[in-house]
Amino acid sequence: MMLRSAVLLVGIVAIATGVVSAQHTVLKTVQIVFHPRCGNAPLRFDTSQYRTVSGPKVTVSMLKFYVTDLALHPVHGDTLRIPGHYLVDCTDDERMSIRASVPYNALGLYSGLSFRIGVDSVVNELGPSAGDLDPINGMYWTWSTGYVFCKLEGTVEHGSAPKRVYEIHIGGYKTPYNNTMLVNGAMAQPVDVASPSARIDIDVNVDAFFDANPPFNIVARPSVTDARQATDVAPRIPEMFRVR
Amino acid sequence: MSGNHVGALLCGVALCVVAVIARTIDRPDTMRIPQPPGFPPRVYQGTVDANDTALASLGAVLFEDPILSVDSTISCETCHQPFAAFAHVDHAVSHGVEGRIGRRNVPSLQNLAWQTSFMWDGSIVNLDMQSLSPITGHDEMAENLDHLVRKLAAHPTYPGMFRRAFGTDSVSIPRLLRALGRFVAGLVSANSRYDRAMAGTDTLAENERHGLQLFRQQCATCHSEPLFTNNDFASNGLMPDPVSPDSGRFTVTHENRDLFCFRVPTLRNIARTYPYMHDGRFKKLRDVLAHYASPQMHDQHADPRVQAIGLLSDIERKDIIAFLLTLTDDGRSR
Repeated sequence: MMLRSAVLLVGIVAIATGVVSAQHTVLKTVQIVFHPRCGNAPLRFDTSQYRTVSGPKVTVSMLKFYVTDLALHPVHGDTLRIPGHYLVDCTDDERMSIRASVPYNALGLYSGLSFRIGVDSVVNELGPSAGDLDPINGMYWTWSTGYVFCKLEGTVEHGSAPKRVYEIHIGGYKTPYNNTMLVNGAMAQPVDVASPSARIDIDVNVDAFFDANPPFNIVARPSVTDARQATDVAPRIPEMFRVR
Repeated sequence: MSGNHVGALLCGVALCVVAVIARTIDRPDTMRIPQPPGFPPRVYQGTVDANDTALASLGAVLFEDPILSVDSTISCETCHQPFAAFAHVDHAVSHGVEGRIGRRNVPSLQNLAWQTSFMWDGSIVNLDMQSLSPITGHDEMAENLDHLVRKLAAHPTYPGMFRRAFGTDSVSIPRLLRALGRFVAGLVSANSRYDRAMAGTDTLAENERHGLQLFRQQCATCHSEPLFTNNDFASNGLMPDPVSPDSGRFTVTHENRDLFCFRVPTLRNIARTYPYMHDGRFKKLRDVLAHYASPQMHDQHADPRVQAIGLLSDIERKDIIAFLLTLTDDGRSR
């Protein structure tokens, strides 16, 4: 009986200690907010029309992507790596930002960040995952192993597909069709992650996807739906991201 | 109580805690999938945080429930028939909702826990993720995952079954996939007359033994024992369908050497899994043997291992078939 009480007591102490230490370890969260834009204005899904430099006007109905290998680069000191895969859905206000935890010993001024648009090769071949990696999010190629890293869909003037839609689905984790894309950016002003309002804003300019040199011929290629087709398209992804 | 005693007690408690944690995360070993003698180590890892028996039962119930298809008309079992080693007897290619027809033959489901990739072209490399393909495929169940979760969550008995397997009654796609994966991973074929003969508890007839000997010379490079597949892909020299040519594994790798290559299927329970080949073009085993032993084979776009198959006499072909018929069991030991 005494032993059982002792075990219980130690258990409670252990749990309490865990809570305290967790509070010490994770002191702050920094918010990373994505802002979909098109042609120097906020992107309005389905209604904004944008004339691409190659000619046709496009609308956008969907923009979703996975962010991983997120890292914050401080003015001084070591890079802060933030584990996990985050699905950003630009059509859903609730899913347009990432809350990254910053341990107390990493507080300071950060001037840059980097991340990959994609899903780690090991995670691609893992079994079913919940949360952001749940296949119910529509970002898994069910007919073949692997996640879709980025989906950009909409309509294009003079499009050749039914209902003039275009569907750009970029994924692929196996060489030579490894299409994860690194994005690097610097903040205009260093961000103090100790500040209660610490946040990093990133514009996602869909016009840059179409207009990056050479301009993308969306009329001729309204459908990109496997890893091989995506390989020459994927390098357009980093062009879209601009850290404020 | 002195400080040392408290310290010892704490250590003891810590060890107990570690032991308890270790036991709860030790599930792969408690998964009750048999490891037949001679089989390589299992590939399938399964689920660590579930009750194995309840998980397999849930998978079995889901497998035979048409609720998985968009109009609740067809189940996995519609095309993967238990009496046919979970292949589709007498159907050349797969069938789906609204009478839709696929383009490849329904494979048997057996010893999948030792298989490294799935589908005729190996496009899927994780067994638990495989069922997404037929569930959402337009020519198969054509279901939408949101819709499916809503149907299951509103069902009178599924939330309870999910709770018994996972501890809470939340219905989700990852849980559904793990249950289906666990069920099919438990379909093990290792109790055929061949297996018993190898174990010394049964004997093969003389023609069957002769067939085995020929089989080992001519076929076993690819259909290697005891799984009767080397988990590889090969071009078997079949002429592509002129109307809808299927380039096979090439569609996955885009490598020229994979053009018209398909999975080397297991030959276990082959007596029950007719028709044969990736497109079900041969109804009889004798047609298959005639293909591999044909002189034209040497001129066709066939794997060198296939081209090396000799011109078998009628007796030799019959004896190989007699041997292949010893590979039959219930395929359901789990």
